[in-house]
Amino acid sequence: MYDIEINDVSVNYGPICALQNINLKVKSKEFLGIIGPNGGGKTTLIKALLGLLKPTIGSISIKGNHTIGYVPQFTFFDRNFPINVLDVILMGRLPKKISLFHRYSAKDKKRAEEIMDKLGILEFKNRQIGQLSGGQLQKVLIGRALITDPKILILDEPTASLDTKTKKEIYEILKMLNEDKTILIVSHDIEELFSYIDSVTYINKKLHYHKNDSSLNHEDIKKSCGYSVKLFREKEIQNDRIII
Amino acid sequence: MIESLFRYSFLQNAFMAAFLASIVCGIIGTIIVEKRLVSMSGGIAHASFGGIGLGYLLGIEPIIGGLVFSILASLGISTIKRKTNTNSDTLIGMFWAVGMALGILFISLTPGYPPDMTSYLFGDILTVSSIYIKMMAILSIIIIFFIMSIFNYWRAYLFDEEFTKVIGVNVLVFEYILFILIALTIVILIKVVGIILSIALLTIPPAIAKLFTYNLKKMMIVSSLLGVVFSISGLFISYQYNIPSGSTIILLSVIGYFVVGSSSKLFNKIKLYNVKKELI
Repeated sequence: MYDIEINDVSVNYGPICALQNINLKVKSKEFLGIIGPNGGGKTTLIKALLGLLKPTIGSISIKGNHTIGYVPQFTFFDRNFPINVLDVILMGRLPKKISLFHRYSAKDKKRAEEIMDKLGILEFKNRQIGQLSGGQLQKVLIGRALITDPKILILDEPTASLDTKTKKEIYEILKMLNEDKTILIVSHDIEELFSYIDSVTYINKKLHYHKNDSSLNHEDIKKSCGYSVKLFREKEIQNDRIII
Repeated sequence: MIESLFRYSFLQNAFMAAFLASIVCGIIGTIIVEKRLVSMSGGIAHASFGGIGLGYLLGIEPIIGGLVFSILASLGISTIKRKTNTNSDTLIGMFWAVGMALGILFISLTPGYPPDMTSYLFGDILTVSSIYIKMMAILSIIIIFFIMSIFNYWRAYLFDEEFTKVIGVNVLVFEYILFILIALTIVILIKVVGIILSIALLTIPPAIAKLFTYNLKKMMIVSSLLGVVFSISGLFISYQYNIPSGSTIILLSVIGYFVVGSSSKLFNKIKLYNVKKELI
C-alpha cells in the first residue's frame, strides 16, 4: 500500500506557479530521492507534505495520519542559539496542546538518550549546538525527528556542505532507518545517493520522472534522460525544460 | 544616598521601577535578541508615542494610550506582514514614523500649554508615581507568568518555529502572545529610560549575558541581574550628580558591555596563549 498519495497537486504563490499537477505515490518503506534545480519546487512539495502550506488545488493524503518526522536543512540554523543537544531532541516530545508548566518526563529523557546512543551522539548530550560539527548537528536533527516516532521521514538536503565521509555516515544511518520507515530525501548529491535509494523523482514545477524499481541505477537514468547523472544538474540549470 | 532612600518615597518608587524594569528586560530582551526582533521592538516603542499624545488630547492617562498603541502596532505589523507580502522591515519603519507623527500631531492639538514630552522620550525615573509602580508590578507578573509557565514551548518556538509547527503546536498563538508581551515591556520601560532609549536596555544585558552562558534560562536570569546592577547604580549616580537618569543607565550599560566584552576576549587570548605554550 501507499504511505503518501499526492493527487493532482498545484501550488501557487500569488501569480507564480511553483508546482503544477503533481501526482506521486510513495510506497510504504520506500526510499525516495527528490532531485531538481534550485527553485524547482522541491521545498514547496515538502512544505505541502508537512502541512505547512495548503495546495491551491489537489489533495495530499498520508496513510493513517502517520506522523511525519521532519529534518530541516541544518545550515539554516543559528548556531549561536542558547540550546543544548538534549533540549533540541526533546523538542520532538512537546505535547501539541499547550500544557502549563510542562516538563519533559524521565521517559522522554530516556528515549532521547537511547536515540542519541543509536546515532552516536550521546557524548554531546550537554553541548551547545554551536560546538558541534555539521555532521553532528545533522544527526541531532535526525534524532529530534526520530523521537516523534514517525513512520515517514522527510529530509531536506541532509548532506549539503558535508564531507564525503560524513555524507556516507548519514546515508548509512538513513538506510538503517529505512528498514521500518518510509524516507523522502531532497538532495543535490545525486551520485552518492544512488546506491541507497529505491526510486527517484525529478521536480521542476512538474514531476518529470519517477520510478519505483529496485533495480534502479545509473544506466536507467542515463537511458531515460539521455545523459549521465553527472551532467544532470548542469543540464537542468542550462535548460529547465528537459522532456524525459 | 542610602539615608535619603528611606526618607523619600519618590526614591523608593524609582528604586522599585528600576528593579521591575530590569527583571522584565532581562527576560523579554533575551527573547527579542534571539528571535531577531530588535527593530520590531524599536518600532513598537516609537508607535506608543502616538498613544501618549492621544492620551493628552483626550485627557486620559497618557501611558494607557501608549499601551493601547503599542499593542495595536505590534499586532498590526504581524498581521499586515502575513496578509500581504510587505517586508516586515518596511512595515516597522512605517509604524515607527507614523507613531511619532501622530504623537506630535495630537499634542499640538491639545488645548492649553503643551506638556513636556522629554520624560516620555528619555525617561525620568525620579517622577514615577506609586500608581505607576502598581501597574508595573502587575504587568511584570503577567510577563513572567507567560514566559515561565510555557518555557519549553518558548525555547522550541524561538529555536525552530517551523519544526514546532510541524509537530502540531499552534505557533501563531506564541507570535501574538510574544508581541503583546513586548508591548507591555515597552510600556514598563517608558518611564524608566524612555521610548528612544528603551531598546538599549532590552539588548545590552542579553548581549553581555551571552558571553557567559549558552543556556536560555540562565541567559534570562543573568540579563535580569545585570539590568538590576546597571539601572540601580545608574539611578544613584544620576541622583547624586543631578544628571538625566535614562541616559546614565544606558551609558553605564554600554560601558559595562565594552568592559566585559573586551576582558572576556583578553581572557580567552591568555587561555589560548597558555595552551599554545604547553604544546610547545
